[in-house]
This record gives sequence, structure tokens and C-alpha cells, in this order.
Amino acid sequence: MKNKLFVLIITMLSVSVLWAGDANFQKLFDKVNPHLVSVEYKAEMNFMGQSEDIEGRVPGIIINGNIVIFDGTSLGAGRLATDMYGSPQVDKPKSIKITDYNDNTYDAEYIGVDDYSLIAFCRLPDSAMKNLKAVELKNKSLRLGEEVYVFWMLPKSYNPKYQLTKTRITSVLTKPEKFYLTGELPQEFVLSPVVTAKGEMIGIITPVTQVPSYTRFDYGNVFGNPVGIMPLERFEKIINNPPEEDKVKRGWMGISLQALDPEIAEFWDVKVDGGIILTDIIDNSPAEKAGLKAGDFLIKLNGESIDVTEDENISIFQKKVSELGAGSEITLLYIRPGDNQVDSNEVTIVLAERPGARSDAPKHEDENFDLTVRDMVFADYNARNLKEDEISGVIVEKIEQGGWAAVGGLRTGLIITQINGNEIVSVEDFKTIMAEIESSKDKEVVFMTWRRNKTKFVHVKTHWE
Amino acid sequence: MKVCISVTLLICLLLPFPVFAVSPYQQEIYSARDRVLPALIHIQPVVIDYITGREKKHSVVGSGIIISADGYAVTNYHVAGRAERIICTLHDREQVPAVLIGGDPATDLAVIKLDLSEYSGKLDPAVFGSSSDLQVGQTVLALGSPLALSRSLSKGVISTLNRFFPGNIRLPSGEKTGKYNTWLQTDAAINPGNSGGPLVNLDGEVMGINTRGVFFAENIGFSIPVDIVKEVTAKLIEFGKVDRSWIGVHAQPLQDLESFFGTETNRGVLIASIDPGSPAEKAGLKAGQIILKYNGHDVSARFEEELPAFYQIIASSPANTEVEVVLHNGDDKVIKIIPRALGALQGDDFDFEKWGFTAKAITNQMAIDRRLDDTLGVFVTQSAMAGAAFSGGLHRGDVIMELNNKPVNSLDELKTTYDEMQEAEKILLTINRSETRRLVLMKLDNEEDTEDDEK
Repeated sequence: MKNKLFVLIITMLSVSVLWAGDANFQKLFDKVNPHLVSVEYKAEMNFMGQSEDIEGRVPGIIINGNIVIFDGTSLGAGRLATDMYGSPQVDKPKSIKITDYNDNTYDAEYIGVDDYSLIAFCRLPDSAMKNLKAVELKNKSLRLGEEVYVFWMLPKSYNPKYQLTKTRITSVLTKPEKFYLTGELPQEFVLSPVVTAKGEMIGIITPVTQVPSYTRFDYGNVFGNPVGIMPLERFEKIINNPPEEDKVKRGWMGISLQALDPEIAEFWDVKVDGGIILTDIIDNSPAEKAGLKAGDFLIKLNGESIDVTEDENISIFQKKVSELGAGSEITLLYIRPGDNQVDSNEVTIVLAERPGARSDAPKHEDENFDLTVRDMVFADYNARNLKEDEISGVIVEKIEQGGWAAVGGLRTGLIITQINGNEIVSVEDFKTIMAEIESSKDKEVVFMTWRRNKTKFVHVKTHWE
Repeated sequence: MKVCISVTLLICLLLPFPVFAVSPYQQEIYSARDRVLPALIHIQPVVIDYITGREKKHSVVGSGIIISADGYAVTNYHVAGRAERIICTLHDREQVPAVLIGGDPATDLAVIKLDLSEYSGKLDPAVFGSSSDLQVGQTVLALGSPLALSRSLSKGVISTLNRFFPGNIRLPSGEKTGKYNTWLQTDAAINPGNSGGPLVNLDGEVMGINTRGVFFAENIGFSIPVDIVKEVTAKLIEFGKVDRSWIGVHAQPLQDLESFFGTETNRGVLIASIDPGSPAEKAGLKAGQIILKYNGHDVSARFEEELPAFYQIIASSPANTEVEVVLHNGDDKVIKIIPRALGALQGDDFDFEKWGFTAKAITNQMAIDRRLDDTLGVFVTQSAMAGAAFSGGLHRGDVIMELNNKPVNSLDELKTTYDEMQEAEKILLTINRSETRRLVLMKLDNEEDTEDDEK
């Protein structure tokens, strides 16, 4: 009797699942499609002193009212890297065009890109919201083998814009951080929404720990990571705190870091699961003000163990700090290895706003000299191992081949510290001096430059018309 | 009689076509060849490098020229300057060993001495000419072992005198070369293996030491002018090295900048940059000043090829002795400066084989080059693939500051520790990497070794 009942229940369940599966595909499609758009943007990319326009067409999802998130991998490229020219820098998009499921198009306003997740944000005009609405989010813990549905954007000429794939959770990662894998999805799936059979959005597809570490000499493993589902709790944190006006409000304490191998801690008879070794402290940063020193081991963040044991996973710690946001107070338990004894202390730090990226720095193009310079930002000092009080100037960001500046011998990456003997501290100083030079039509201009620890004078001949 | 006439006719006919006679130009080439060929040597040194994180020996091939009857010979530093063993093949194809007398990476020259104890022949050394008499277009011969093809001769002309290479060229062993000399450029074919061989004029006098070719280029080769070779070899034979002085000034050509700095054409050397902590910085010299006189010598560099001569004047001023520098400053202004000894460009190397990396001592010039605060610590040349240091994350360019939390001040200190710590299983290094302080844990497999032994 018990067995019969059991079989009956199983049968009913199976039938309901089968029925739900078939019928829901169309329903699901109709339900989610209005939240999905395609995003086309145009931006300028600078690489090795050359610039070119790039275009992108990526999937977008409407979240939080009229906000659209989209794949900002190209737009955010190089924002965290600390090398001088190794990575391309992309300016903020000149235009963003959004196409919805009915082929309506709208001009959207760019908001910014999140440095760690590389999710980009833009705002739709209010008029667009008559036809469209934000997706519903559902915070749900997923099980191994559980079925999920992934929307996948199709080429531009296709209609509808998306197709739907049923897949299942193939692994529930706990390390390097919580992440769901869904088998062999290609990179093109990045920022595809993942929904339940009921059409609730439970996550998005992103590469697993895509983030380059913010440590010098370690740019992390950007390519070749499998893609998977970013759990909604992290996703919500990101979308609830979009970068405002392209300014980063992420939390920052001003440290360079290295993973703490537990075997290193054993040298001081300290037992830990991992942690962070501070390799450098930025002057006047929150970390310095709180009294942290290079060589300290960070063991706990807000009472939770920092179990980072490999450099590849440092970005997880950085991301946590970053996502806590500027202004928030954090508590760190640290160990200071000494000669004979080990001190363990707690310190409270109010996170500062992370210094601006190079692509956010004010810049100016002088058309006479075919020369674009920008203000120096933290990353510039960091990349050149300079302290901010050691040198001030503007960085040559772009130079047109054959222009006056290029012929005279200026190169990208040089720091201009003086023009005709006048100190240059910012783009504003540069503009002022260059305007004076233009009005007096100087026949020659002498730039004092800095590169690789050496100064040099560069003589530029002008050819005014 | 008829026979006699025809013979005379035949001779008359042949006279305008002297098939057996030789033109004076060709004759000159032959005689130059005959003067220098007996002094030419083919050199096969076994050199040591540390670039893979292991001490590695390999055999290279170069050329050289005998300059004295007792067996001194000149070659390039990059051929024999770091040789452990040298075998030379003489013009008569006899082989003799040689020892390194001294090398000067800054000019890429080295002197070796042939061991003639087993050689029965007699040496016929080459004669140094003077490179200041050379002219562009003058015929020259290059002799040597291009691509190891010994006793090869090629002919060309001097393409230009005083070729200057800005930015200093780095030798395979890491030192920068070319700060104190310009090069003779020739279109006589110079290929790898010609290095160290002579460039001679038609009198068979050595005019330069062939040093560099250009890959993918044709007929562009460079020789170190013999006037510099004479000076450097004399010092190498006497002292085994060339001592130079240093003040830490980087100059740039004044061309186009005279009016901006308010000086006259052809007067003075413009200071572009000053090394931090250098004698020049201590003396108060600054970028943008113009040096008119150094140690009593008028100095001038309107064009870049004049810069090596200026550096040479500084290099030959006495170290640790006050020198007068006259600056252009409206009224001529005098500054006193105390040059320091330049010292070695690179430190001694060592293979920490068990730990899996090679390292070198830090010299003053390395510290300046790498922006290190001082010469304390040990410079990592490379960590060998899959070694303990490599697995722990030690990189080329790291400076080891501490070992197991105890300071490491010099290469010798680290070598002593290395000998003492052969049994260690774990070693913790504190390193300085681009002004950040990192920890590197080396896990050594001593434990496994003992297990294997028990089996």
C-alpha cells in the first residue's frame, strides 16, 4: 500500500515536471524577453599610444527601474591593471543604442562600469519604460544538477533577439569563491541572464573570478576561466551600488598584498588558514593612518577568516573590501611578526574611495601639437614606483604620428614636468601654457620630461600658419 | 727570323693585357692581408651564463688579433670576457690554450694571453694604426671567423666615423656598453663570429675591433675604433680592468636648445638628468645646467656623437679627488665635485643550485640602474623552472633582503648561509620587488631524500 502510494506520487511528480517543462518554455520566453535588450556602443580605445574607435554589441538586462546592465568587459579593460602601456584603455562610450525585443531603439545614458565584475551600467530614457520593465530577482540557493534556463543573445539581424537554453548546475564551487558552473558555456554567454522555470532571475553568467589582482606584477588570470553563474547575493550588491557618473565609489585602504601561505605563518608559530601579507602601504592611505605596516599579516576581516592562500585568490579579498564601499568601517585582525614575539591586534579602518582610474582622469588634446595629455592618477605613480610628492606633471597619453610633438621627440608615457621652464602640475596648467604659446606663436617650445627615472629636455619646433 | 718576329708580335700583343701582373690596388690588399693574417686567431671560449637560473657553460666562437710577440691578444668582452677556458686556433691551424687577462664591458673589449709553452712557431703580432686618420670611403678589410668559418676576409669601406648609439646597448651578460665610445661603421661583411676580429687598412694596420653586425641588414657592421682599443688594452694588460670615475650626470645634445638655455653654439654640455645620491647631486648640479669645463677640459656636445668624449673625460678624472666644474650661468660659475669610482657594472654571480636560483652581488651601478636605495641584499638573476625558488614565487629582478628573518647584506653572506643550510627543509626569504616587500617560501625536498635513502 505504502509502495503504491509512493509510485503514484513519483508518477504525478514526473508528469507535472514534464508538463511544466514543455509548456513553460514559451511562457518563460514571453515572460523574460521584455527584460532583455541588446546594447550597441561606440567608444575610443587607446593602446600603445594609438587610438581607434571600437564598437560593441552585447547582451543587456533591465534591472532597478530604467537601469540597464550590460557586458562591460571591453569598457572596463585595463582599469585595474597597473602596468604602463600593457593593456588597452577604453574611454567612456560616445554613444549607447539599445534595441528591445520589439526592435524599438533608444539612446541610453552611460553610467559607468564596475571594475571588479566588469558589469557596465546605463540608463534608459523614461519614455522607454512604457514598453519595458525591470526583471524580477530571486535569491535562491542552487543545487547540483538543478535545471536552469539561460538566455543567449543572437546576431543582430535575427528576430527574436534571444534564444533559450536549458541547462543544469554542473558544479557548486565554494573555492575560490561561491559560484555555480553550468558546463561548457562559451564566453559569448557573458552577462546572459539565468532564470528558473518560473522566469525569476537567479543570476547572470560571468567568468569565474575574472578579476585581475591589484597587486603589482600580477595581472591575474583574465582569459581562459570557465564561465558560470554569479550568485545573486553578489550580483545584487553590485547592481545596488552602481558606479556613479563613472566615478568609482569603491572601498579602498591603500595596500599592496600577497597571499599568506599557512606554511609561511608557521615560521612564527602562528596557525592560520590563510590571510593577506601586506607588501606595501600607500602613503596617507587609510591603512597607513590606521597604523598597518608592510609585513603585517591580515587574518580576519569583520570577524571572518580571510582564507586566501594563493595569490590567484587575492582578488576575492580585494573585491570584498571594494564592495563594502567607501566610507564603511571595517575591522581587521592582524598579526605583526616580530623578532621574538608575535603581536596580534585589531584595527578599525574607514575605507576611502578608491583612487580614480586612468580612464577617468581629466585630459586635454592640444590640436596644434597633436598631443593629448592627462592628469597623473594613483595608478601612474604606482606603476612607476613613485611617491606622489616625488614628481608632478601630466602624462602624454596620445600623440599623432607626424605631428609637431611627435616629430620633436615626445612619446606616449612620458611625464611632462615643465613647458618652457614653467612647472606643469595638472591638465589645467597645461591648457593655460599651451594657450599662451598659441597666442604668442612661439617658434619653439621646450618640454622637460621624465621617463624611467631620468629627466630630459625635448625641443619641439612649431609651424604656425 | 719569322719565328722571332711572331714571338715579338705576340709579346707586343700581350703587353696591354697583363694577365699575369697584379693591379696596385689588388697588390695592396694582398700585402695588407699578409701583414695581418698571421696575427689573426680563431677563439673558442667556454663561457658561463646564469640567465636560466642555473650556471650553464657553453662554447662560443669569435675572433681575435695577436698584439704582442709574447702572446697578448685582443677580442671582444662578449666573446671571452666571461670565459672559463679558451682555446685559440692560430693562422697555421695550431691550437693553443689561452687565459683571460681582463675584460671591459663598457667598451666590449677583452685581452687574453696565449699559452705558448707547447707551441713551436713564432708569433707575428699585428700593428695598431690610428683611427683618427681614417676617412669615410677608405678601403678596409675585416678578418675573422664569421659563422665560425675561420680565416675569412671581407672587404669594404669606412661607411661613417663616429657612429653613436643612444640608450647604451646591453651585452648578453647584462652590462651596458657604448657609453664611452663611438663606432666605426663599415660595409665590409661582419657576421656573428667576426666579433673580436680586426678591421685593417690597406697598410695592414689594425683600425678597429669588429664588434657588432645588424641582423636583417646588409653591409652594416660596427668596429670599436683602435684609438680606444689601444687605451683599454694597455690598462687591461697592466691592471686587468679599467677603472673609471663617476659623477652621476646624464647629458643630452645641446642642438636646438642653445637659445632656450641662453648659451652659445658649440659651447658646453647640457645636463639632462642627475642620478639620485650621486656626487653630482651632492655638489648641487641640476638638470638644465650647462657644463663648460670639467677638470680643466673644455667640454662641448652639440651633437649626440660628442657625448661619449664628455663621459670619457669624466671617467678619466681622478676618483675621490676634488674636481672643478665650470658652469654656464650668466657669469661662469664654479662648482667643486668629488667623483667616485664607477666600480663594476655587474656583480659576481653564483648558482644557488639546491635552492634553484642564480643571483649576483649588487654593485653601485646596478643599484642606480634598478632604483635600489643601496647595495644591500642579493640580486636574483633568475629562478630555474620548477625549482624550490620558482615554486615559491621568486622572480628575476627580486632583491633578497632577509633569509629566515635575518638580514642578508651581501652575496658572500648568502653563500655562507647556503653552505650552512644544506639540510634545511624550509627557507623563508624576504624580498624587495619594485619597492614592495614580499615573502617567498622555498620548500626543499631534503625530507624526501632521506626517505629515499631508507628505501
